[in-house]
Amino acid sequence: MIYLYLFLEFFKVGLFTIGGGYAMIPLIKEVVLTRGWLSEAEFIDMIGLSEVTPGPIAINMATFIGSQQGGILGATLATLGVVLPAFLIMLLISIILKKFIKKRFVQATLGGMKTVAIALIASSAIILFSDILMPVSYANGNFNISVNLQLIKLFVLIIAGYFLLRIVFKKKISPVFVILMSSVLGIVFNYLA
Amino acid sequence: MYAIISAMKKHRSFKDILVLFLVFLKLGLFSFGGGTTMLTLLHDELVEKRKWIDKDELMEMTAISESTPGPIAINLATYLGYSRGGFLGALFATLGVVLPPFAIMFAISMFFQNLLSYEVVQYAFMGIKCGVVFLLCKVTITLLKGNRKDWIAIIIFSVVTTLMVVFTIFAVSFSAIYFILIGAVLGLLVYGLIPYKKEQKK
Repeated sequence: MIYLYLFLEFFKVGLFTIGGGYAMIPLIKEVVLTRGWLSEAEFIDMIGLSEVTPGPIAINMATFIGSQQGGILGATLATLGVVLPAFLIMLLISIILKKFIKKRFVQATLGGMKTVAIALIASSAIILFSDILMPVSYANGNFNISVNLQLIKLFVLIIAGYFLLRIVFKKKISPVFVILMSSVLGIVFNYLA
Repeated sequence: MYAIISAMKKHRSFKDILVLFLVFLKLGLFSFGGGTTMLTLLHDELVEKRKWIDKDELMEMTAISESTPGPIAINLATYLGYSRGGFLGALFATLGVVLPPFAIMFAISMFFQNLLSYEVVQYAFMGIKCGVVFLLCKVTITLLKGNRKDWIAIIIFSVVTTLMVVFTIFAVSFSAIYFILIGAVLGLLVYGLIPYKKEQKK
């Protein structure tokens, strides 16, 4: 029975959250707490754990909770549940779009949406930049900016590393390599400091 | 099983599907932070290196992924897999992107529930966070350079970016999907009804 619940609850999460990422957290929290699968404190730890592991938060959570509640089968069913709605809906959209994407009005509509998508990426770059390096908060009419000097140093180090590698190898450095390099620099920097 | 294999042979060669699966496996393995990070990886791998799709199509699909249910990484994998290799392409691209986080998280739940208490993990993650910010800034600049530069695009971009940042600072909850819908309507009205110089790029 637990298998059925795992699948259905995570299917619900996958179906009713639009926008992915952090937009999915409130619904996952509700499901997990009402079912008693995790306590509130465990849930917060879980968010931290999902951040340090690759992949969408929803999948990380589904796999972890599924595995705790029902082993490998539970993990598989919970993950399948969270992925299935996105997969099916997107498949349908892909099939439809393939027919109409060249049409003038579709192109015009997508043209407007595209600019918004770029703006959303720009805003998440700005927000993440500020969150990590200099968090800004607003309370009682005051802005508080706390500058995280350690992380700024690390950030500069990573940029320096990137451009150094670019000059040495004389070609583009892939994002995958940047992530690997960043994790190594993070370890080295902290043990030296 | 036989049906799958024969469908594979009929539709696309086995190799194409395998390449699709492996590419998305790699993307799944390095998409720390989910959707947006995945986008920087997709841009590098599919637009610049492999030239499977162009920048515009990637952005259009991102907008659609942000307005459909589920994780953005899954939406993008399904669409790109389908446009490249039909149903099987979609299936294997999605499988590829799900498998690494699934395997890693399963291992963590079995053996390393206290992963976060290791110093070395925290330090590595500090680095990864900074690296991801850097990648995001870089891809934003690339995307902006490639976008259309008419007045409506400039206005949409500045207004949406500013509002999203302001909403975040003041902790106003506002779903990005409304911006995408507004963008869609404006795009349809401005680019669709007012005669627009046909695709300047070609």
